[in-house]
Amino acid sequence: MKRILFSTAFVCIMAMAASLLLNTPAETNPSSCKGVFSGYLSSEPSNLDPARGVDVNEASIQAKVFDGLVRYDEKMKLVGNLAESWTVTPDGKELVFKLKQNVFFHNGQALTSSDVVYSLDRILDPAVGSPRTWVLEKIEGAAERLRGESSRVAGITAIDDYTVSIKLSAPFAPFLSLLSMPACYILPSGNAHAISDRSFFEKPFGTGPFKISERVRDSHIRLTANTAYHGQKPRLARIDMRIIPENMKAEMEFESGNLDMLQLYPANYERFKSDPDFAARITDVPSLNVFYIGFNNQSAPFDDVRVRRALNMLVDREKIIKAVYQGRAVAANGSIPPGISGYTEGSNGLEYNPEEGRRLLKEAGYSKTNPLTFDLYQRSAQSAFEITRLLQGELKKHGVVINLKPMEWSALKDAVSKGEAPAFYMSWFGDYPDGENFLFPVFHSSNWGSGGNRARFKNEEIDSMIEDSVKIQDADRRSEAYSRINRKVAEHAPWIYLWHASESYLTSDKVSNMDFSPMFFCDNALTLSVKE
Amino acid sequence: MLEFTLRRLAATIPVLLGILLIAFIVLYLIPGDPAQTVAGPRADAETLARIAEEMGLNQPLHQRFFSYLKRTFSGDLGSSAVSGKPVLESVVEKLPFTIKLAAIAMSFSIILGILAGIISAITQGRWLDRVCTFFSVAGISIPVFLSGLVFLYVFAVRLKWFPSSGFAAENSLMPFILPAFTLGIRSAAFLARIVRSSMIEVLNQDFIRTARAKGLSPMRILFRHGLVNALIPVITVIGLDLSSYLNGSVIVETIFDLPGIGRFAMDAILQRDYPVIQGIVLLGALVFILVNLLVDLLYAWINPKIRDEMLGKLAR
Amino acid sequence: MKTLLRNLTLAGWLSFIGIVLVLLVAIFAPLLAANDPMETDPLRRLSREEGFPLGCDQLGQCVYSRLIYGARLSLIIGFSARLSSLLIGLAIGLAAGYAGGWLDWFLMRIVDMFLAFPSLLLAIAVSMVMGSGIKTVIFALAIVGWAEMARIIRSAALELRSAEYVLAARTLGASHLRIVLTHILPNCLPLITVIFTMGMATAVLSEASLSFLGLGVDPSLPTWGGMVASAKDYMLRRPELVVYPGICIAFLVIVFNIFGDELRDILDPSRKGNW
Repeated sequence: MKRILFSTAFVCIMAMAASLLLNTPAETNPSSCKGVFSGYLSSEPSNLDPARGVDVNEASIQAKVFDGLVRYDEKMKLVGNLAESWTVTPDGKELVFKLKQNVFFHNGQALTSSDVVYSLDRILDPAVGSPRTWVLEKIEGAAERLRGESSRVAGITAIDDYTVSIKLSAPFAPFLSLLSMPACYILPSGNAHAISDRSFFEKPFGTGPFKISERVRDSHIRLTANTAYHGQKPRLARIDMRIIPENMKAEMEFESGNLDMLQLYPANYERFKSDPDFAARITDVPSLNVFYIGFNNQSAPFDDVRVRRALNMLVDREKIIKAVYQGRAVAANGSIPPGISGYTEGSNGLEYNPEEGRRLLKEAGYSKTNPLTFDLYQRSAQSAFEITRLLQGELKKHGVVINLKPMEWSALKDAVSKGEAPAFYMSWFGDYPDGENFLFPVFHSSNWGSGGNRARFKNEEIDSMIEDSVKIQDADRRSEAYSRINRKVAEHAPWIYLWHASESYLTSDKVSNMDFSPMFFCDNALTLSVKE
Repeated sequence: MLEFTLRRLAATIPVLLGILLIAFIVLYLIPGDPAQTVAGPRADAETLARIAEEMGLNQPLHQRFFSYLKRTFSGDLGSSAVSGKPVLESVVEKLPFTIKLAAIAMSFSIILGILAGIISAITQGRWLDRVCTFFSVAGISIPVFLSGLVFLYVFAVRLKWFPSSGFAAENSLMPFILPAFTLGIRSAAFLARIVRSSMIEVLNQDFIRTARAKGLSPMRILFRHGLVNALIPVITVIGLDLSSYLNGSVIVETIFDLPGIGRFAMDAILQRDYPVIQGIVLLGALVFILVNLLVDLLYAWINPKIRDEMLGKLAR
Repeated sequence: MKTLLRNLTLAGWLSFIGIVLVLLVAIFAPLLAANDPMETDPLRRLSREEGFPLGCDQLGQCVYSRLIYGARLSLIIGFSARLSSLLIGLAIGLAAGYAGGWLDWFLMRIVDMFLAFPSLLLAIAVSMVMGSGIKTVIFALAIVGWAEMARIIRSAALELRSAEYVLAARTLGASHLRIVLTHILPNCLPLITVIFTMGMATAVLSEASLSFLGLGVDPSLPTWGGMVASAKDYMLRRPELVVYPGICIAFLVIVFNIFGDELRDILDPSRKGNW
């Protein structure tokens, strides 16, 4: 009897202790998070709101501060993040997510399904004006929400505090991938007020492995480890992300030992590669990207497909790749990069062919006395000039006159979104490793502007081809469908397809375990560590 | 002295108004909708309408100017089109860095400049003078961005004597030394020439010859009589040179990564943040006018002869 | 003029020769250049081939040819800006100095206004309003430079106004305009030459700074400041790409400064270093 009482008491006490421990954010010994990583961004993130951020600088910070339901790990595998597990109905129209419990926002507030519902619903809230509504458009009730007919998206429901159900209006295979995007990061619904007047986003917080402890615009953003993180704890104590728009400055800082990482460009790649001290620490990442010259397909002179095709044929990509990238890039014959479903090998009919190109231009009405002349908008960074000046020179030899219009990155984004730029030099970095991400956002007519379709391309046949392809459940057949669309879009040449470039990074000898997956910019720096 | 002060102040006021007028007009000359220019390209329709109303775009021009004057004098220099932060607040935050930079640069320039000027004046015509003169010409001829880049590379990156940026340098002076030196060289060169000619002029004057005849030691002559008189024009020059510090700080703060006003201006220019640019240009002009006013008053107070001369000029 | 040239020191002659040298290079640029300064070629990137005396930059352009043509642009921009400043400064300075009274006071306040703005920021404000390009750069530099000129010319006009021959002309019934043009202006010429020359130095430097900041002329046009700007990313790898144009800028500015100094010393030795 005594023994039973004693052991029961023991168990009860243990149970109580355990529940006490479980119901507060468990603080690990702070000294297990060690070291400071000094990184940098090439421009001040203009908007840390996941619903509105559209570039890699913003995503870089968001990925460390917020979590989504799912994420892609270093091996490019889709794994659960805030979602512990999920099930998909056989007809592919409903996904039910079971959230992890004991997850806390940086302010101590616990994560529940209401936060998930709030965050996802917000993307489709017309008052928010997100350019990424297409991410969640396939959810039932999305259209009504966008039109303002309902105050909530019908298809997103909280079944209980830790279970969320998402119903789609039609089966949509890439949906889980879309949920990994920064747009779907989870925000604290308890701060809805600050979020709606945007003051929240000066120093936003989420459930992520790092918190923003300091932010000085145009100077730096300081991230400290969230020791109460729900997953594997971050190994770093702090990340300093400085804002350094000048490559030369970043290079000097790296050489002085003030930065732990440097993105290499054609200007400095060879110098570091030929130095044995540095060469071993260079990582070439075949990134998910495509570089292109976009046209405003809706206005002259680029509303004429002959002009667009001609320009593709007048650019000798291989020559530039060889000279500038020294083989670290692959000529693009479509928008989808190698290694991704839908990548299409072989010719797309737009290879370098100056005679044909000149003939097409002549047909379109241009000649020596009436040369094709246009403004090319670009970033004011020297690395952009490297390419645009070469293109300008090359096209001049074929009688095309380009005027370069450099501007700062956010000004460029705005000009392009508004359709002010007849031509622009830009790139598209994939949000997830699926060909659909290189087709739908950039070529579907519903995404004009900052949604992704900067070229204002519109083709009804291609629109429906894209819409049909995402309904295919079988991965291989879907890939074939993407490939066909890729080819078809190339026929219309909405861009000058340039190349898919590897990104190269140099790390200092302090750094270990820096994961350079192709989606490195979205890395949440969990495994990263530095020697003291 | 009082009359002089009053007249001098009276001359300042129209200049002040004129500057405000120019700053006011520039905003309207920028192509595009002025409200959009102030609100920034990322503002939504609501903010745009609010700002258009604030600016009173439907009111007649002179009324808009008056409300602009009122706003400016109450300290409202507008808000950044990029971050929404009030311009004055950002300026106050960043001013200490630029002031530190300018102060150290000025110290460098005064010490180097006066020293070089004196040496030149004493050894007038000989090789030392020629060398100093050449270096002072070179000092004002080499573009600040070039010398800045070279110094940064040699002393900060290669030799590592100085930090290569102003980041993480909370209260130390180290990150300011190199940029201040770059800025200061220019002023030093300028000063050296002025000091040299001023000293030569003074040293040739009668009272110096008298002192020498009296048998006073050369050093004493130099310092007590020569230097003090020669330095008077230097004060004016320093005042006039102040503008060059603001210009120089734009380039130097960008190269050396110091979060001061110059860098703030540069970032605003790149981001087309017009309210900030307008605010900084205005402040720069105001500071210049103020400093010159003070210098003139100081100058007149020290030397009554000059005061009368200047008074005569003002009265005309 | 003749007195000027006769009294030049060695330094003065050397700097004069320097200026003439750059002028000749600018005039004979097409003959001196080895290649088309704006022709790019990816395959020639950073090469040191035959036919390219100083090698090629990262776009395959001939560095030497760009330096040669750069002299042209630097001189053209500097000269045009200075001339514009001169015209405005002359008009205002002469009017103020000769007329005196309230007109003088009023015009000098305007001069004070323009002198108060930090020059670089003013130039930048102008380029924001007018967009980029050669005309804008020239206009911006002109706006920044006229005030200083006006002030100096005004002092000169003020002094000359009370000269005897002016008073005589007045009594003879000559109109004000006539007096200004035939008596005052010619006597200002030596002064004008000096401030024009010294201003060239500032103009060249300012244009280089604007180009460096990315606010100058089209980057495909060869300007020395632009060359430094585009080569700065390569500074650690090919420092000569930055040093060559840098030396050119420094050289041109130094010779203009020295020559201007010498001219001023000759003109009025007692004024040494006071403007």
